[in-house]
Amino acid sequence: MLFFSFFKTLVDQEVVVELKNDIEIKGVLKSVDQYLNLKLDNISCTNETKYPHLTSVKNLFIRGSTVRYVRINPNAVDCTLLQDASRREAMQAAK
Amino acid sequence: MSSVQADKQTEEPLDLIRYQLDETVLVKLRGAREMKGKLQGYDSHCNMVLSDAKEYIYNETGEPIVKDCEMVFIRGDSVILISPIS
Amino acid sequence: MSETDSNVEDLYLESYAFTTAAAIVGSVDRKIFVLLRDGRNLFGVLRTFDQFANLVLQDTIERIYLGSEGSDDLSKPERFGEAYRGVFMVRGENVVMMGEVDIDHEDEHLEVLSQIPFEVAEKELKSIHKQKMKFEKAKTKKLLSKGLINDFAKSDLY
Repeated sequence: MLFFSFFKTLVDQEVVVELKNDIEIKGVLKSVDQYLNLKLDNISCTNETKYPHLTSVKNLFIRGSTVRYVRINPNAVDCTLLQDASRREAMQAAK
Repeated sequence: MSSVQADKQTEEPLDLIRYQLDETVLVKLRGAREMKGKLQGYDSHCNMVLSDAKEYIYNETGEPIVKDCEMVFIRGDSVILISPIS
Repeated sequence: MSETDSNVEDLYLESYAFTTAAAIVGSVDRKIFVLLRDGRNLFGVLRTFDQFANLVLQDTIERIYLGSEGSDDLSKPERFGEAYRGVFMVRGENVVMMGEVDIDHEDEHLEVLSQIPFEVAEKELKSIHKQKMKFEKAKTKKLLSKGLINDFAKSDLY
């Protein structure tokens, strides 16, 4: 659940989602769920020509399983907190 | 040094990743890619966050394409291996 | 209602905000577009869904975008074909992404494209996909000899 909580802290931040088919979608993160499905608002596609109909799409629900990367604004991440949370999660898993 | 430490000494593969937190790692990925960066977080699915990352995209011939990224989340299902680099 | 009851409800509503259902519920009874893993573009009215993002679409239209004639480049569409499909129940695992369509602007991008019969488009797309499979297979083999895993599944043509 660590990254579920992590993404919840990034709500309302602008992110760039790269899918496994190489397309990149920029948008404001609006919601995330336990499968790390993402919901973006104000989307724009770096390869707009491949999916021309995206220009008329207002918000986008992206299934988590098709995501390769999510690029994040580094200022939105508390690195020490994330590292400690990772250790804590690893400890809990070991129990 | 963090106050949060595993109390048991039983070792498992993911412990290796835990030791690499705040260190630079090389992550080999599906899609003929590699990513080098400082490990900021991970979970048991190998989902990861790297900072100051460099992505290498390999093609059949020639040099790989290099992309920089300051902070990136990598979904665990693309991960093949994680290796410490000095 | 007692106080504990409302607290329980608050707690439920708070956690509800970050569920699959909450992300999709706003699009119910609206026109949405769905991209499937095999590359199909569906446009229809979302009638219902569940936590796996299984969807029921009404008055669905399937649309194929193609490049200029003789070109196998799908990234610069110049032509399109569409067919009425009716009601669809889409299994969630096949969904790549879905989004609400702005019905005031949905046809704007089509104005610069020329329409061709769906059957023609479908046939052409099939041969493009076939070619792509061949190309990716060769690429995977080459990369594998360098110890790189390209990963290309037949079902992933989006």
